[in-house]
Amino acid sequence: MIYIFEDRDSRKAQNQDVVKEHSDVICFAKFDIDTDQDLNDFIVENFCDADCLIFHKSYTFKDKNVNLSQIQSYMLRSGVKFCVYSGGIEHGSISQDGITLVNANVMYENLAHFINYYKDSNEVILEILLWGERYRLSQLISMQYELFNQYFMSNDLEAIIPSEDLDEILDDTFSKFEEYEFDASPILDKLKDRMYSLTWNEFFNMLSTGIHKIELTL
Amino acid sequence: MSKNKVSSKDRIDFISFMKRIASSRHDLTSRIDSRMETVSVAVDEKTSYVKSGKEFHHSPPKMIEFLRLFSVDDHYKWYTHKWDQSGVTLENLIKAQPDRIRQLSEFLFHSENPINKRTYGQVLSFINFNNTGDDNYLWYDNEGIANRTGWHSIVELHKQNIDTPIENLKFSDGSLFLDYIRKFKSSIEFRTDLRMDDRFHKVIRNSIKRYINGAVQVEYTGNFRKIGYDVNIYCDINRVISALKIICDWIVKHKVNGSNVIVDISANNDGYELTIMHSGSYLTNIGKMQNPSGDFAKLRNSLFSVCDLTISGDYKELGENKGSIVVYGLDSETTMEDNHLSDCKIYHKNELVGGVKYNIKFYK
Repeated sequence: MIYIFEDRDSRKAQNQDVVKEHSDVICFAKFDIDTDQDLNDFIVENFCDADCLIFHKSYTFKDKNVNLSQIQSYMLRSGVKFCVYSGGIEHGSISQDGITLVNANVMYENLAHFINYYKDSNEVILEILLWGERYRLSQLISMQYELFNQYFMSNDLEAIIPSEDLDEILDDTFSKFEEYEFDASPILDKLKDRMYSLTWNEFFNMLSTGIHKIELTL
Repeated sequence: MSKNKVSSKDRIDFISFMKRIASSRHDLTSRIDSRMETVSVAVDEKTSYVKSGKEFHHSPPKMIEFLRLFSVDDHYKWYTHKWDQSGVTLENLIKAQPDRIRQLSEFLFHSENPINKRTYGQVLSFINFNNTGDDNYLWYDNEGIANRTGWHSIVELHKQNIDTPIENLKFSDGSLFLDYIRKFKSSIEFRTDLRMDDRFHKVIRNSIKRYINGAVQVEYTGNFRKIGYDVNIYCDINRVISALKIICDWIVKHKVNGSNVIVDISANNDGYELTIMHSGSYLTNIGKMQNPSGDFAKLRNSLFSVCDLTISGDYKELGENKGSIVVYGLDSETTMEDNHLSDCKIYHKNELVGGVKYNIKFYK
């Protein structure tokens, strides 16, 4: 079962159709824990069948001693997928320890695809909530945009990359590939071979070719 | 009593008292509210934590509670958040602001665990509609660059472009108000949803690079890249940058002791510990470490109610090795009284550290 903790009435009304249509696997829920109630007991009693919780970042809890990060830690420890959404989050991200953030509008736009996949496969793929049905392609495009924005918008493409910056560039490029779970090694191996006198333009071509090769596999 | 001896807290209390008396006169209360905002924003280096003779506790969790408001609280989040709820208007924000600022000032003036006065100033300089004029108060982005543009800057612009969403309002230099909102958001929280340069590992790395400026070799561990990439916590980032500048200046000043620095991070249940190890360096003069003045005092003040601080290092007296010491610069027992921080606790150890290790603890 998937539970959405939405405390905004207008957003709930706007999205109730898709939730009602799939009420066998998803519902809007409330986290009405009382002050004297134990968090573990409350979760076991009310959400023991949860495969995924989707929480509004500003969700107001009746018990002021309970907060979102406690619930998130509990769920992630229990192997339940957990996603936080907000209008204030700009780009979706999933950290290595499973913390998932997504913009509220994007989450609701992708909700139907997410539910359909869950119904078909009984698998929760949070990437669909963040990047849509063709999420691998969207992730690749996002990664390409972020890397190009980082390296090529403000640098002179004909200039040689300062050698003292290369380690950091390798680190950041690797981190970005790792974030989206793409294999960076073919590009990084080539880069390591060309550590000296590499221009931004050559780096751009290496990245473009590498990303294009990944695209062909999707 | 001379003007500069009246604390901001006294002024706020006096204005609040006057407002209660004038509560039935709306024409007076709006003028009083306007004065309140002007006073509230005037929190600078000279502002004391008030309540003379009283002890205040170093409390980074209080800073988190304060900064979280701008992300999740329905009264404050509209300053950083897309207006995706009906009823949010500039007029309503302006009207409600005196009460909001009064609530925010509680974090500084009426708490046993006050936030850092500079954290308060950072936020108020951005949100305060009365922070106008050529000498208005500044706030700082996560590169340490000062900004004058804030919510006060778009009031007139909004009137001229009533149908344009607030974040899309354009200034004469072509920049959007959204650019400043993003800068502000990424100055109060290490975020993972904006630019690569706004991520924790980049903010730290870029700051160290800027201040070390090639004077020594800096190495970043695999953990620093891996863990630092995903850090998502509320923090007054400009206070951290100020602290890093002081630490880097020390390293550069003592580069003759060692030309290698290793930067690492570890994660635990309640937060992250950033470690900057200056190999080969050492500490001297235990008295100065215990009751700091100068840069060490500045460093502690920078991180008061922001992060914990520990310095451990090999210790020498008159050139003779004396094992190592651990200096607890800021921890749960640190207090402030009359703007002075309590002495640092220092422990001796026989084991050597291999240099001087600066440890900054960030809370989740």
